Amino acid sequence: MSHSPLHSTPRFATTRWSIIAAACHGPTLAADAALEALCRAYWYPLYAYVRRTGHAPADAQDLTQAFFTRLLEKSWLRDALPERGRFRSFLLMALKRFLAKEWRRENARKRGGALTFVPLDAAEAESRYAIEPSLGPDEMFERRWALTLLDRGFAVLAEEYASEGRSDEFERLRSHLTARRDEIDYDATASSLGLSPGAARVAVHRLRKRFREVIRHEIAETVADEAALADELRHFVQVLGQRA
Amino acid sequence: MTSFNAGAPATPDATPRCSRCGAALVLDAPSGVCPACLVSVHFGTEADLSEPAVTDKPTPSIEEIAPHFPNLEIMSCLGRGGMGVVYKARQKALGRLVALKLLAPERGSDPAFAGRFAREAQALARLDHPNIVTVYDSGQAGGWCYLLMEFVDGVTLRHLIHGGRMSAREALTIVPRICDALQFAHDHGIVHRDIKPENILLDQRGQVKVADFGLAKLVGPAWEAPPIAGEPSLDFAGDLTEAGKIMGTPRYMAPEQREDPDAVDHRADIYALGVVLYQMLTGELPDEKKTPAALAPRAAGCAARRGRAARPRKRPRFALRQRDRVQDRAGIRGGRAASSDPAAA
Ligand SMILES: Nc1ncnc2c1ncn2[C@@H]1O[C@H](COP(=O)(O)OP(=O)(O)O)[C@@H](O)[C@H]1O
Ligand SMILES: [Mg+2]
Ligand SMILES: [Zn+2]
Repeated sequence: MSHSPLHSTPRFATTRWSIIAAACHGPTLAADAALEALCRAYWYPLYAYVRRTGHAPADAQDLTQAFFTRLLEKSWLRDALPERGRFRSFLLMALKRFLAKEWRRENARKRGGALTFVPLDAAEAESRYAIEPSLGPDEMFERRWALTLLDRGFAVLAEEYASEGRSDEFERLRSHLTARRDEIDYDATASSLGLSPGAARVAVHRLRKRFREVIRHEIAETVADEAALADELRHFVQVLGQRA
Repeated sequence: MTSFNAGAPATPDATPRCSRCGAALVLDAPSGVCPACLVSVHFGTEADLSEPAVTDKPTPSIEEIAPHFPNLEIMSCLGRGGMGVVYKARQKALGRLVALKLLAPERGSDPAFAGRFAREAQALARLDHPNIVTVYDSGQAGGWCYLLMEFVDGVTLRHLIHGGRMSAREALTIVPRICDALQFAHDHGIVHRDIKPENILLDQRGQVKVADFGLAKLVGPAWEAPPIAGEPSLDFAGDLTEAGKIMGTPRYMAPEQREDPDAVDHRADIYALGVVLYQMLTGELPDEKKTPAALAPRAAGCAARRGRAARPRKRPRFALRQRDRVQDRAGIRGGRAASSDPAAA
């Protein structure tokens, strides 16, 4: 029964996380690819968590790598899906389990022949970690997760503007993303962009609009349905709203 | 117990700070951007969190748009909806009053959105009915897509409801006209998809005019057929799916429409109309937790309830049925001809 009605498929059927969650009854290539893409995107929050739980850089690196290796074995993934709704909570819970139970055995195997799935750059990871604020491991993970998401959002925007040859506009406008509409000086923006005030207004609002869409989209990739999206968005807002 | 790494170095004095809230900027967050301000500005309210719809709504001034419409004398701004701004204007040549609707300016360059707009115009142009706002023209000017339509000199149903001037009898004479409009559109394979009080206009003679088929989608067989491999229509459908993400107004939206905006048929309109009827009768939106308001005349409340059945199959099958049901319950007889003067009640 591989017939799937294209037209009635809810839109969340195509988010990365729902592809993964759906694959627990039988792994698919799409699920592997989706999981790998998500792991690549979100490896650093996990690394930071492992470091913050007290592991030295080299160990943290091995552990994170080994964790992803295990995770990407689908059989393991199949057993570990109690938190079907969210990639974020799934990942943190799986990592905790891994650290608690499987670390020694895994570590031994890992040192034998390492399979690297995630582009974990030790030097880069450590230089980032060095400037992290002093949070507990869980808080660190949550904050890092949210910032990673934000980073991805900005990267998408930058790429979109670049592809239209408007990188300069993006660089000039991005600071307006943190202003309320009534705080924006459109005349100044207009002259800095060499546009009419009306056009500047349109440009600013286009960017703001797109920013929200992009963030929603990035979050949607990590959840299975609409309700989870709303919750994740709320979580994202709450985490970033706190002062580090 | 967990051991905490004292990883963070002593903060140097030169820590960059947010010029808006003063918080230290996270060094490797998107540079120069304060995450706290970012989320509070964009996702700060409950509405931001739950409404994926357009929230930033710059309204182009009359001076701004006038040069792009040399044949029109732009008179005033009538209102703003999820998709556009509507202006009152006069056609210079004919002296006729018209309503000019501009595509949301912040989406002007979005081709998927522009495509939707063009389809709205075409869908509306096919609908020639006394209870549907007539479309005169559509096109692009000054970077905006526009729709030129019949000017309805009056109020929206929202105004009537808020004005508290809605008697049950009045409500029950307006709704059948909406049913007529919908039935006509449904017969033409067009689902409105966004029936709500703002989109129901009443002119000074009390004529009901349904506006804003902006979310209409053709449900003809060409769209229901499985896509043929390699056919461009697949992309077309994809773009509609994208558009579906911001379609509709949640409070009036049928459950199946919320779940899968692409799979709705005319019964979604019947549902939305059920909500509107309920609101007209009670002044409130339906709330599952509360018992149906005692204010509603029992029989009419029943029609409103039927219309809002969660399962599409439980709803009156046609808009026409719902019309007859409402008229029966209200003790009004006769078809379309009988009640072209509802507001006179
Ligand atoms: N033909 C018209 N005549 C008079 N006023 C109109 C007309 N069309 C729309 N309006 C006014 O403009 C507002 C927004 O228009 P609408 O078409 O519903 O926009 P949107 O498609 O963006 O939701 C309406 O609520 C109504 O007040
Ligand atoms: Mg509208
Ligand atoms: Zn700030």
